[in-house]
Amino acid sequence: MSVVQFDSVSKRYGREIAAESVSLSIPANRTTAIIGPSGSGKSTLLQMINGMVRPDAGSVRVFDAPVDYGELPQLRRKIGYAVQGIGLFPHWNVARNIAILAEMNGWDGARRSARVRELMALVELPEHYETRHPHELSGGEMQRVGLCRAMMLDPPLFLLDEPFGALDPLTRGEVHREFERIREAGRRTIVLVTHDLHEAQKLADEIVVVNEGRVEQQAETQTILAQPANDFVAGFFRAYEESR
Amino acid sequence: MKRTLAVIATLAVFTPHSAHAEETIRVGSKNFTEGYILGELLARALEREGIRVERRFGLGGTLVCYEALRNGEIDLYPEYSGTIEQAILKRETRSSFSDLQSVVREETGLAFLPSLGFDNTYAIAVRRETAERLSLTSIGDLAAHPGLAIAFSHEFLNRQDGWPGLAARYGLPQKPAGIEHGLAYEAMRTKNLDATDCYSTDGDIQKYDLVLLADDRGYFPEYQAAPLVAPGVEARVRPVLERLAGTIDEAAMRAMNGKVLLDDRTFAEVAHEFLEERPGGNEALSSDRTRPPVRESRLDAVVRRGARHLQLTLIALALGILVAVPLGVLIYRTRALARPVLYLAGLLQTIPSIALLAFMIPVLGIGFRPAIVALFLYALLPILRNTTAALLAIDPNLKRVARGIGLTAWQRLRHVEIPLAAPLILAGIKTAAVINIGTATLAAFIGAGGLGEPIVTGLALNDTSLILEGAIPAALLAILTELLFDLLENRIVPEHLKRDPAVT
Repeated sequence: MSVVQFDSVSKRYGREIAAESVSLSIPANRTTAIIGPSGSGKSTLLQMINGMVRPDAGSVRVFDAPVDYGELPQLRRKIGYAVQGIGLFPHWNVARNIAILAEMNGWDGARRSARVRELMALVELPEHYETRHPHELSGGEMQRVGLCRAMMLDPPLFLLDEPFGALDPLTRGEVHREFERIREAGRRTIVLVTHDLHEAQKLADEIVVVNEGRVEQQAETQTILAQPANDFVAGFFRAYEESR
Repeated sequence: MKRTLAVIATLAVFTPHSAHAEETIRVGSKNFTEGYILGELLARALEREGIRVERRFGLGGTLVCYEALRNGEIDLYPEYSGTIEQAILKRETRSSFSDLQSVVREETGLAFLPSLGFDNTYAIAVRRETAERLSLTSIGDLAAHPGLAIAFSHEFLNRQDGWPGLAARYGLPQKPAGIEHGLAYEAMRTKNLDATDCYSTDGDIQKYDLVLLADDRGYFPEYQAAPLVAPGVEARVRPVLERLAGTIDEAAMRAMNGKVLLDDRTFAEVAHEFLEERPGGNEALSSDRTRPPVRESRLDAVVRRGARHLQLTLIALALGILVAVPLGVLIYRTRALARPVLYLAGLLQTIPSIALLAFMIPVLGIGFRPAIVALFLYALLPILRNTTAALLAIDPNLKRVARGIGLTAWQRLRHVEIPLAAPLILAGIKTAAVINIGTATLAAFIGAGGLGEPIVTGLALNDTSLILEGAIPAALLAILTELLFDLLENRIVPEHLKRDPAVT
């Protein structure tokens, strides 16, 4: 069963091809990593799932229905979203940053703060951080707040756009551990865009390799590493190993 | 926010409205000494007959007065025949006073009442001692004395209808120098100068004991002063004002100007005394109408004008915020509009304030409303530009995330974009407020009152202390505003923006 389906999807930015007739289905309740060199269109694919990018041709289905571009906020509230820059709102404290969507959905205060505490405990943020502002947090702490925000409404689908890209290796390891705990905390579908093969290997059940707007290969993590489908995939893996 | 709105609403309620009770006659005047005195004189003469009068004095020049009269903003004001002929009707030829009266009636429908009795034209003034020694009585007599020390104001020296024409008409051989008008009198007092140009009713003529030479070849146009009256009120005011006809000669007018300029009397006092001393003046009517004017204390005047000034500024500012902030949001969301709107607002800003006020007259008349509109237009650009710039400057990643997590356009604007833009928007409002406090001093030129009133009058009287009576409170008000906004800024600017960018 799949949660997201791309059917012959194409997208161009001027002359640059971001997606060329991509057909792809992302399995439910698993973690899928989309990897590829920069400019390969991996981020565009991710952003077509929550309607941030609208394809020129083809169709995108999410939760078994075509994306309704007139009702995007409703769709997006069922999709957790975290990005590289995190994007915490600097004028709000941690609790409000985490709870914003619940607030917009009309949850009462008690329900909101209970959920916020539950999530903060899950990512091991001390309770008194609730009243801190983003500028008072470390990079790792901000990232964890970002994950909490994405999980606030307990969405069945998670989109992560290189969320760990800007972290130093130590913090990254720490956040990866939090990520694992989130994954174990409930069954949900996670789509992770990264250029870091190692990260994909560690976090994903399935890997999609893209290049120049095309899907080169999609397979189980172990399978794809053992059996690259073509020279590009093999070369991409080899180049990554050599650069380490 | 609610409180602010309440204050604005309160101010709006107390805004003077332009609807007038039918019986009130609105008397205007130009913004120079003689204009004020004559305006006060006409107003008091009407009041003595039990007519209610509203004074709209110190209007910024012929154009403002005339347009105000044409547009029914005032009912009458004192004007000069030469000015009507040249500046209003733009006629090349000169006509007699009675001809001019019928031309005015034909071309404008207005009534130019009989002359008050004096001609305030250009004149040549000579020191009494020099005049007596050389028996100078007319301008032509100067021709025989090429060695006289003569200097003229720069304007008179260069105007075609000034010195060049005068020298040709009378065959005068002198090569006069240019001199600042105020200094000319002083130079005559110290006997360094024998003759200069002046207006025939200058209060200074008496002070410096000067003699005016007769213009026996009729070179200078006549500037007979008389009330210019709207047809609607003519029937009511004519009988009263005609009684003033021919009662003020040049000497009387000079004396009145002198009392204001040199003896520090108020316009009202001088006008009152003239009416009292006039033959039959004191047999008038009930005593409360002839009561001599009471001087307002300086503090009371400053407070009254300051309150009006604030009222002008705040209402215009509030309107500016109500329009410019939403407009700024709109052009931020509709990029195509950004350029034309910002250009237009920029263009408005470049119109000189006094010109903008003059443009307002045909549309909105004079007084409070056009001043509000002009100040409102000036408030637009800083607020508009800062609003748009602030919204555009928000971190694009934040905007993307706000969209990506599922906030609606309105929620993003209300909860994320506006709060993040608020400090810069506030800075724009502060700029607009300070600009408005400065510009509002010009509102006095179109009779809107405020701290500009003593400035306009002070300019007319060349009275620095009077100018400062408006300028200092206005400057203090500007500084106070700046400080209040700084306080406000401290409260609304979030912590993270007050620090150096966090290093992560």
